[in-house]
Amino acid sequence: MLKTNKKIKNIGLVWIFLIILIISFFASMALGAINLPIKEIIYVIFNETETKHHLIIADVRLPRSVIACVVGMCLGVSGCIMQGITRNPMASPSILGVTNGASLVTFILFIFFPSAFRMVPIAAFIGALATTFLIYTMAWKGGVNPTRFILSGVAVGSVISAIHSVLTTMYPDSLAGMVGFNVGSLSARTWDHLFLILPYASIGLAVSFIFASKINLLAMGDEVAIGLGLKVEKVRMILIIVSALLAACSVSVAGMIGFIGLCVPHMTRMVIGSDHRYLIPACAINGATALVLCDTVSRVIIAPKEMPVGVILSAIGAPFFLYLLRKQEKM
Amino acid sequence: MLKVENISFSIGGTSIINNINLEAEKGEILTIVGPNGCGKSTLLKIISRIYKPISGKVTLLNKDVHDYDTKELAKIMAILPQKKSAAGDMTVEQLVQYGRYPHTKFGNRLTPFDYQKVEEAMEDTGIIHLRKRLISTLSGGENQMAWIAMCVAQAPEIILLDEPTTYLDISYQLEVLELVKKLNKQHGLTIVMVLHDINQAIKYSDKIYAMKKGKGYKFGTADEIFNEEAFAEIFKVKMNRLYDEKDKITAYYQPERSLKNNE
Repeated sequence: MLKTNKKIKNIGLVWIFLIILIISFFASMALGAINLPIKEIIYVIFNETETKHHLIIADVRLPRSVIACVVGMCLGVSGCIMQGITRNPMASPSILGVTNGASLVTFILFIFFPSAFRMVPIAAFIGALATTFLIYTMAWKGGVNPTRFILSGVAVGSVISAIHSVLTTMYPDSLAGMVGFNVGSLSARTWDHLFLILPYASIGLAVSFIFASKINLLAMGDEVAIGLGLKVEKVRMILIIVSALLAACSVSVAGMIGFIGLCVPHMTRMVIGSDHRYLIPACAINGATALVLCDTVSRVIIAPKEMPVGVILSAIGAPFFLYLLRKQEKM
Repeated sequence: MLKVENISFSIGGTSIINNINLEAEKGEILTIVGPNGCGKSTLLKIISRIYKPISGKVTLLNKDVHDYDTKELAKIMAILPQKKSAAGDMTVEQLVQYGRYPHTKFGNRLTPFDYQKVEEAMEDTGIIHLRKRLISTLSGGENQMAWIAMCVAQAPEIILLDEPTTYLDISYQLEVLELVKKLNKQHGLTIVMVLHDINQAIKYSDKIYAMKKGKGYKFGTADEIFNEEAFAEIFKVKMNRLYDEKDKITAYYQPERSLKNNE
């Protein structure tokens, strides 16, 4: 029976990815302006309270690494869903301008309600969802053609960026709340930031895992999926909402982090295959690993100064996007 | 079994099909024929609930198809569309397993009974030896057989096939149609399909529904429908009737020339 070999291999791979994430997580805790051995990290967390090392680990690095994990998970899964439901390997929240939309509405919130910190995820969600629907509507012509989808995303993203620039010029004072937003950064993130997005991220990730097998059916074509008894429009709508919610969670605390949603699902698919029952959890884990590692690099590469993690990701992600474009042209 | 009554459908104000009526009894093979763009595939999509008609209704087992729960309908009716895609790393067996989706409950896990049905579907369609092969490595004919096996695994009472022989060489065309006939005989499956080849439609169908410009032209057995006048009307083609030497009955039709320039 088929459930034997391939299933065991895929479960094994998910565990390997998880081990890599754990190692990366501890590496991110250990490395930085001050390097600390793992033993000391564990000792400091459980036995010290007011020391300098405790402050660095418990109040700075630990929340930052946990946020990197959650944001990476959100972006990895959001990209995986978008690629699955559009049958387009180049779809991702940043390429399609979904993160730009989330960022724009968040910026508008900062302009008019500067103290509404708790409303940030909701504002980002509204922006992400509205952008996704706009792109989808523009690309729809009896179905969604992959190229038209990407081009619609690029066009919508450009318009949003233009509006963003206009607002930035008109309301320069509101930019204080948006530091790090445009390039994407995890600097100075605290437990408050984590608790802000945790409920939304948990719901989004849980629904993604539950709907993973349905994405497999959608990937076979709408007519096949309908023939197999899937409520195609309803499922697609739920998945669009979930992918927008996850992208919004990421924007809410880390700004516009690009390329994780593009590269992670693609690379993970190369290793684990196209079955979304394994691909979604694997993308969650690998998204977390990728962001934790890139954030660590951003902290140590020009230490004691810090480079925004978005810059590191763009440096890796942009060539990868060009590689995908060339590959698709050949096809 | 299946009843289509007064179905009309339009897109953006343009009428695609108009007032279609047809019926398929249980265990029958009904083939829809007609020139390109006459609305054959659209009609199949309306029957399978992919499109909603602007008027009329489709009844399956005395119940409007739109009154069925999606999964319930999929247990009765399987569809093999023209447009379909399988992931490059999907095996034949995995594809056939998707046929059991309508029968699964929360979590979509397959039971031992589902696995047994998958085995039977692969055996019935003669692809059991391909079970571990990747879909991407199959020939066009093998690929079509694998998708038909998926439909069989659904354990439906009726299968809708949209041009199942398109892009296949003549050997696989016959193999696919022989398989359809075998499934019809062995399992009592009702088949509704769209075909382009008239001779294949005549050979493999119990009833034929001929369409022209979005309307029904004739509905009945091959003998009732086809004659020189019908070919000229429907396809704008002059067809020669070739007779069996011994029995002096129509063996098949051969196209002689297009009549489109005569218009």
